Amino acid sequence: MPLASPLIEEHIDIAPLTPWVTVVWNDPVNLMTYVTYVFMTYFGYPREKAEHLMMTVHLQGRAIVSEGGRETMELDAAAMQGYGLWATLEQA
Amino acid sequence: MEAFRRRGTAFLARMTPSESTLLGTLAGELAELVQPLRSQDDEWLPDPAIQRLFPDTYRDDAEASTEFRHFTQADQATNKAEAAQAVIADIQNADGGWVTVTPDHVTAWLTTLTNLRLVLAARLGIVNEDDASRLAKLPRHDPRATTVAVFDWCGWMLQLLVDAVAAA
Repeated sequence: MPLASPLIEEHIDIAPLTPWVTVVWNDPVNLMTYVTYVFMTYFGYPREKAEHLMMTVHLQGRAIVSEGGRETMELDAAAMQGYGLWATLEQA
Repeated sequence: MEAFRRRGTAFLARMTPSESTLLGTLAGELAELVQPLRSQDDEWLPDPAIQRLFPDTYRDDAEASTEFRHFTQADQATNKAEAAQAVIADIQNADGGWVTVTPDHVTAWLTTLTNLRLVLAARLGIVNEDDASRLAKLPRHDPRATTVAVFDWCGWMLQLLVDAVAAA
């Protein structure tokens, strides 16, 4: 006989979302202008923000480019990887 | 090569026959490289180029990375192969050496040139910026010099296309 009642499972399902972040890492291959273009095109960031993120990647080795729920971040990471950027996910 | 000139909403590049052949061949090899990953989503090839094209998404969690790969890799491989094929089609449809990149093919060109550079960089063992600058100073007779030249050529084309698209 199952011990867990549906009510408890439901409670677990609506537990607060832990925020996740998509991180883009520096690599010696991708062009700075291309990385900026990707941030502007995919995220719709204004040029200034996209360039700032690109420079953060370049100078600090990585930058958080978006944050949100895990499923949204998985879409973002997959999109960045689709563009050839080195993207990973982690918990904020 | 003359690239990329804007005409209407499209971008035009003039390529010599040898340039067209080279880019078409490279794009074909790229499509072939990712082909096995399109149908067998569990297959994992211990190839640095494949590892860079399909990186681990969770750095400290191999299990989560494997699971993520299981759900995304086939689509990613298909997208990369189809992008490469779109580039090949545009090259084959060239008119008097002029290749037309329509707006719906811009991403295919950008990602294919990027993917080619990632694969060539992996083949050349470029892991960090020092590797890249060392390879830029290779003597001409070094066996890697040709690959470096192709890598640079792809970068040059990519830069011109990004500039043209950004200016549009």
